[in-house]
Amino acid sequence: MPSIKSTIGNFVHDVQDKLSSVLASAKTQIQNIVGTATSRLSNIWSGGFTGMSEQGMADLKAQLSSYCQDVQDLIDSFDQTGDITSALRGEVQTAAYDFIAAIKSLLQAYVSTMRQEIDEADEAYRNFASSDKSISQDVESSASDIRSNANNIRLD
Amino acid sequence: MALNIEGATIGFDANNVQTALNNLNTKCIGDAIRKMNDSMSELREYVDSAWVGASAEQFKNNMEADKNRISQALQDTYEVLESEMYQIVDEMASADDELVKGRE
Repeated sequence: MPSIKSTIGNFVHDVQDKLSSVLASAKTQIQNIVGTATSRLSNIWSGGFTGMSEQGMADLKAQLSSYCQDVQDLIDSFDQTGDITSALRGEVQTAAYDFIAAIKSLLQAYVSTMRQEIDEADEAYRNFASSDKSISQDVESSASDIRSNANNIRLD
Repeated sequence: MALNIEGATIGFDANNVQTALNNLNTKCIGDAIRKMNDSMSELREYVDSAWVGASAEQFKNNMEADKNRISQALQDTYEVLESEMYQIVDEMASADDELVKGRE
């Protein structure tokens, strides 16, 4: 007959296994949510820069940096959420810690992507402006050809 | 309700769990979404005052879509946490019941 100690030991082991499985499953689900959301972030400059001046671009970048800072402050504020989880123990506390870590990483990925877009904005703007310039030069040149042709027609 | 087995406390309080869930929902998810919405409104106001046309509209749509995607992910993450917490509480409660039964 098994001893009380080993019976309780096996029982505790079973409970721990079930709880570990709940934690692991939730962690995977949360990681998938974070991964999917961050992999679908837009290229914010995909619409180009038509109508945007160089000075406007500098101001927009400052506004975007301010938005990023607001989200960064939010992430930093989660470090002060210890009081929320301090009443918890064991697996529920682990679950709460994992959750906070996951939402921090979600928001951090969001901010990092945006900061990268801000860093790449100048080059994207320059490329756009130069292709825009080249299009207007082409248009101007075509217009000049048309005018010249028109003059020729009149001369003929 | 708390289990104390061989000197190791696997303690939990269902009320504490509910309070923690409410706080996490309000302070982490609710505040985060509210803050992003407010900051996005300021950004939109700026864009509306400085930039017009199709590019500006696309930029605002992209920014809004990303913010909504992140907000949705925050809410989905909380739902997983909520369900996880309830599963843990249920497991602990049934473990507690089993132990009591064993002593009868």
